[in-house]
Amino acid sequence: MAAAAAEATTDGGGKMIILISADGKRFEVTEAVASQSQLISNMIEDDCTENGVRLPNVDGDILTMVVDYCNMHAGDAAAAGDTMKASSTEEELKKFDAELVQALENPVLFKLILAANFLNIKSLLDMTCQRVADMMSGKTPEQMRETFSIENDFTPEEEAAIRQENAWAFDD
Amino acid sequence: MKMRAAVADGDGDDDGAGAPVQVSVDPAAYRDWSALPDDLLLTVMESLAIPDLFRARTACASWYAAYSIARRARIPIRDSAPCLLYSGEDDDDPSTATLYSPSSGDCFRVRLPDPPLRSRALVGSAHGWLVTADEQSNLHLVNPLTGAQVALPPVTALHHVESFVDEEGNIVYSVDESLGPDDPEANLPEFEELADREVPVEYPAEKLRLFMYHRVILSCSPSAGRKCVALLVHRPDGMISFARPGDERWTHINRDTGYTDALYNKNDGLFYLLSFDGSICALDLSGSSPVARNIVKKNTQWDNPSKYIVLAPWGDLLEVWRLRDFDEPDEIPECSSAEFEDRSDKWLTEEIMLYKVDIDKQKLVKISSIGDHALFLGFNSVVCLPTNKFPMLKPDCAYLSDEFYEEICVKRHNWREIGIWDLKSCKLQSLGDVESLHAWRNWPSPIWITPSLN
Repeated sequence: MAAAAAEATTDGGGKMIILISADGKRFEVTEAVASQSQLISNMIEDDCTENGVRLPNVDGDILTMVVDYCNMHAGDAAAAGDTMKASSTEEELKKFDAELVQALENPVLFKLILAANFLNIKSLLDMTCQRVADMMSGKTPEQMRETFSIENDFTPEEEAAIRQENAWAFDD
Repeated sequence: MKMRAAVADGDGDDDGAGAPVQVSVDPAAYRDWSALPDDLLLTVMESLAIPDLFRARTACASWYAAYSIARRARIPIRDSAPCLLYSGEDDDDPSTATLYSPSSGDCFRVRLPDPPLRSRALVGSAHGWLVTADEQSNLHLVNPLTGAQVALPPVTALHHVESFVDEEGNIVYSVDESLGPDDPEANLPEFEELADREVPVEYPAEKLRLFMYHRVILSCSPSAGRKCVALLVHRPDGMISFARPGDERWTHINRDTGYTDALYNKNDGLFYLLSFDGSICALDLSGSSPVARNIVKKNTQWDNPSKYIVLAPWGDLLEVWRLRDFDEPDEIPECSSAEFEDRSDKWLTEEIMLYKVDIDKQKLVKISSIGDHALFLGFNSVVCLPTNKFPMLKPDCAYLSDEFYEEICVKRHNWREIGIWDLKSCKLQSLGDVESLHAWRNWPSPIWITPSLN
């Protein structure tokens, strides 16, 4: 059945499914695009996407990014047998990925990580977590707190004890 | 409509026709990053550079908890005993190093900055830093945990090395390997063959590193900047030069003998150098010009064994002599490659002798044991540790790796002698499971190093 449906559509994408964001925005995507989400891929396997998939913890603007990302990366698997296509898109993909995470405001990046985690899209999760790691790079603990609006919940004694602590493992 | 877990229960039948399937609700309102779920915070911590990981732990309690897990996974060692650092046999990434800690049994990987580890020669280690030589034979100090890197002056900044470009456009180093004209021994009969050496000797850029660097001793971590002095024992004949990070040139110290090993004593701020002739010199490099003082007189002609000079934790100055013999292969198949021939060669330790240096009586006193201590010998700065503080280390043993120079460099594919030498039974034991589970490549040659974040 699924194979027959796939043959009936173009672009190697298989049949279409509808994703519905928390605020009711609807996104029509191919199964191939949506399957990059392990969560949705499992649902497709279980044949329960007929009436659309409602994602009540993903906002429309976040889901827009996720769908853009998945559309862009759907070529990865499809183009695996077509080396010309794969090599020509690799550069574009890198550029697209870099631009996607580079400009994000903190709350958006935060929500995108949660969405990638919830939808179980490993490459997007790795990329967004790496972005957070990059934002921490080279910063002092104070600067890290400032960057991520984190409250220091240690007592001064606790903090001093932790700062002392790495002596046990590494110092001469 | 009731909420359902899509993955576990996704048949959609009881949702009624036309209703979209709905997955669990978890309103992800952004407050601040401390609300990031633990497993995601851990993913972030796992992709941090190690210095960032250590800084992140003091941000807040939840970050500290994630740091603790990530740190245990990424750097499982729990003490400051040396690890064997090497490029793994099954490791595809030429920039990563594997570290094996015999004191904890743990193995872990770190990633080094460029140039890739596998393109470098390892020529020494001290204070948690590797001394590496790149493909132009220039020295870089690199801390494999923090990824910090510091360049030493280039090889052409040694007093006897110059470079030129040959007809094919390759960099070639020309090294003046003649003895200094003011050396009284240069005219003795035993140096006649040296006088016949072609002067200067030419080396391709990437080859010189295989011959130039015998020992590199650091006074402290290079993170201390200009306080750090790198003392180089080098070709020809164990000459010595020194430099600080940021120096333009190496400063040659003219001595009438050559050296085989050296150590830095942080208690008195002096370098101690062991000569091929058995004499020991204390060298003060803290002033405006070097001050050398011989503390032990010349006492031997025999420079066959590899000799190490060690400051024992109980305060004695020791000499460790490592006698090795060349184990020729039984037979080499015809049409074998050079690599195969190299692999068939083995340098094997036959005996390790220990001496206490009695400075007052000007003699070496043979000792049979180091008791509850373990030695780490190779081309690293020698380490001697009390085994009662490191219960997994074997007492009265020497943890061996190859020495630099001939057995490593000239035949870079040959067998590496790595294991635990029992000073009592005089036998080499295996390092254990790590040899089969996380085997090492021959190049760069595995080295002992005590990891440090400094």
